Amino acid sequence: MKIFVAIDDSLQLDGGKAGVTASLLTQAIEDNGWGKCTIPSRHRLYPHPDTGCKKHNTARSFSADIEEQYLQVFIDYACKLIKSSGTPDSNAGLAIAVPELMENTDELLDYAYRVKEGMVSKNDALAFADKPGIYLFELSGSGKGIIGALAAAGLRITGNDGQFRGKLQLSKVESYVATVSEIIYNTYVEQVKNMEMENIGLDEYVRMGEKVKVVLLDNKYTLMVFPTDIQHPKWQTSTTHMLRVF
Amino acid sequence: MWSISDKGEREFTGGKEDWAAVAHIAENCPGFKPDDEDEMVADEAVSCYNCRYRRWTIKSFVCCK
Repeated sequence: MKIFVAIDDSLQLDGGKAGVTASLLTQAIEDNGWGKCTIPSRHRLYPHPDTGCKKHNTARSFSADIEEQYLQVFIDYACKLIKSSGTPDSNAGLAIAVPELMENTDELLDYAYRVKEGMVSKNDALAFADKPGIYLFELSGSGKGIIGALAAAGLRITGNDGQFRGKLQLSKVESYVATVSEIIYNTYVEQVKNMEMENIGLDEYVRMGEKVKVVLLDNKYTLMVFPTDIQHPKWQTSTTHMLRVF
Repeated sequence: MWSISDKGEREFTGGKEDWAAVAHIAENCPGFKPDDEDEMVADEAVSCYNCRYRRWTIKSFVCCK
């Protein structure tokens, strides 16, 4: 079964460990033979001090194909790991969504976009707790992390939100120029698009920037580029500033 | 450049798009510390917008240092 796992524990001022925790969870699933995972993504939520976030408001999510008999084993493992990795002031939450068991996926997606665009209460998240295919766990502090965690699960299901952890490196050569086909062949990138969301052809050339991030679009690992306004190469990887919408 | 809230917090008055100003502030700030790489939003590596001690508000950010 396909599951979407999401965590939010970003209260820690000096923290920023949710991404690491998400990576550890994917590693556990694969190392234990419970299933196969996708790369964790970071989803931006509504940045407001009243959300209880000291630093930023983001949550991490990934999907996995796991054998049904391992779901409870994984949930127990994840709860234990997240509890043990938090700090005393964190408000960690874990959400797992299983679309094939859900009666109405759209209401989760609506909720996710509401959390991205405005304030949502913990009760709004808890309204999903008894719905089939949704598993929510308040793991430390006030448990408010379930608000963002549930939203991140929904945003990941949309296939059109979030940035992937880490930087993409194709070559150690500075300002390396590659064709789109070379990028797709040698990395986990599945498609290249410009900022107007148009696909870039396989034989087009792209200058790789210093810090190359991959985003989730069309349910694919997507590299975003913008025009250089010169003949060759025609494209340049999008900057951090340009990708802040993801 | 900064306003003081009722809670005594320093909020940047330039909003979330004054890239040059926050880069200049951070370059001269002894408290600057880069945030987790996934949380960075500015192209300038040294920028208040990329600092682990910034906290986003509705219009801008608060400096926690």
